[in-house]
Amino acid sequence: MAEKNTNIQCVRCLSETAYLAASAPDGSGAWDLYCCSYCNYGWRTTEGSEITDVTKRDPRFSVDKNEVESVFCLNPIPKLLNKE
Amino acid sequence: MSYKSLRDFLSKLEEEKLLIHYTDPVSLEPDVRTILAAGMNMKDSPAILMNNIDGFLGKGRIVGNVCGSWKSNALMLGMQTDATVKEQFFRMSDLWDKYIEGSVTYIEQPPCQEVVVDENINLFELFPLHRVNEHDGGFYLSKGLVVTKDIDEPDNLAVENVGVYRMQVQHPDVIALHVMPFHDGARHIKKAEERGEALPVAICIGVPPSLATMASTPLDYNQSEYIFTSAIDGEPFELAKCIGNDLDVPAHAEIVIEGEVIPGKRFYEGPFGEFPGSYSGAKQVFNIKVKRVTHRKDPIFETLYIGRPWTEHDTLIGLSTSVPIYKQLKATMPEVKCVNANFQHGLSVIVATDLKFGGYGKTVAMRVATTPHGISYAKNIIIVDGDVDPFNLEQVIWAINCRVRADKDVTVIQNTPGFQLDPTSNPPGMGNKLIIDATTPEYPDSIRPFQMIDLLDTEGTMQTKLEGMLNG
Ligand SMILES: [Zn+2]
Ligand SMILES: [Zn+2]
Repeated sequence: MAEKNTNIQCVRCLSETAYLAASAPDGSGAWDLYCCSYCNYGWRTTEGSEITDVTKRDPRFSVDKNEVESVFCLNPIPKLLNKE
Repeated sequence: MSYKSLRDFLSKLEEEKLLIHYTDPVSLEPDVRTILAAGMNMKDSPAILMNNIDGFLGKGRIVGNVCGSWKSNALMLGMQTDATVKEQFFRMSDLWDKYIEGSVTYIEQPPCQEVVVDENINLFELFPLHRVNEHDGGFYLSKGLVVTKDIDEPDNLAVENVGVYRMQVQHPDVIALHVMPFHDGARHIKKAEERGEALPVAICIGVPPSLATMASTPLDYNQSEYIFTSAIDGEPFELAKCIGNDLDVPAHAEIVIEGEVIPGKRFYEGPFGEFPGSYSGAKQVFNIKVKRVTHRKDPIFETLYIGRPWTEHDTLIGLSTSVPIYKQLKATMPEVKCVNANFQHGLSVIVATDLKFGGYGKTVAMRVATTPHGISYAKNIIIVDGDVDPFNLEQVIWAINCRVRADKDVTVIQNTPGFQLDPTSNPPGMGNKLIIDATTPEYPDSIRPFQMIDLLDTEGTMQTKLEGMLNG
């Protein structure tokens, strides 16, 4: 995998925490794929501009940076049992 | 007839003209989802195998809609393709009782380990992952089976769990796992987590269709999906041991991902287009750190399109939702004849039952609402007479139209458990139960006397004769 450049802006949460995660495995250069290490969004460069272009994304699916830590937790973290 | 592997089943589908080889160029987005959704709209919803995938030339194949149609489902159950849904229901119900006849066997050098990848793991480059719906938060494994064990009972196959849960590949070797707290897999993780331990998991993709069906079925905690699958197949189910942990995986799986659940942390996941036909919001869920990937040579990445119904998801979990509810009702209410909970994982449940006494239909409905699955899922419960076919919606609507007195037969129980992915469940996890008793009132309840018109050709003799004339 390429050297991690971790300062790319995420198209969803807009923080500069995305990185190049993968490229087309057949070596064709057909696409690159980015992941955000903050909101865990992923996108491929061949997707439509409604995905890859920050200005054209559907605002109903935008993510507020502050929301990431505070959303509903599906499986609450249990207390550690005391080892006796 | 049983199918040891996904590939065996695809050959059978091909023979039955239920498989399309899609050889035109395919983009991962949006082509894969468009192709699969269009396939589901076709009369027989064939499986579709794609081999010309952008960026994966000569390196990747995708198959979807494998259990998309009732014809494919009939084949999975060892029936002819013309078996009705009701016949498939009773076939599955019969197989249910054969659980004790099931068994497993282990094979050396299993096909699922033909290729082993244990360094520089990058799932995005290994397999043609794709965005299932446009506004999903990433690239999902929509038909992956998650295998876990109870850390206190590592040698007890019966409590080893195989479940189909939603998973988002978030980073090259990290997968988010969305599993409802009441599912067996979540119980296993919680137990390990309370002791600060990372629970080993195996994710299996591209498995025999009978296993995919059983993994989607709400079994009892101590019932083995593998043994049930063997009961369906009529022969021992072939397993292999993972390389890096003690988990059992289907020997003929296309892909096995070995990893561990990271304890004590949660990660942002979603949204994801879900089976109610709407997106579920983002949540904090588990993450799995991938340790190793094994796969067959030239693996087939199996996916499932999930969205507005009808999709493969609906067929896959239809009868595996209906049959357990039927079994649970039948155990104490032998008057129950048949159950159709095929819609949206049983958000509506239609039960055909004979009546013991006035009000019995409503009693059956209350029992539905207290079955393990019905507690949170069953929100619309419709009860019809035992001679009404619950799989025939024309008959069901007839029963509602000609039997229901709104002042007596319709009941709403407020503020009950609800299913959180149902967009009407508010707050998520709460709901109401609607009971429609569309049975003919039994003494001492009554409606004004009426005379039923006899059914004609009840043996189907004339129908068979006419079909013969039509097909010449
Ligand atoms: Zn982000
Ligand atoms: Zn289980």
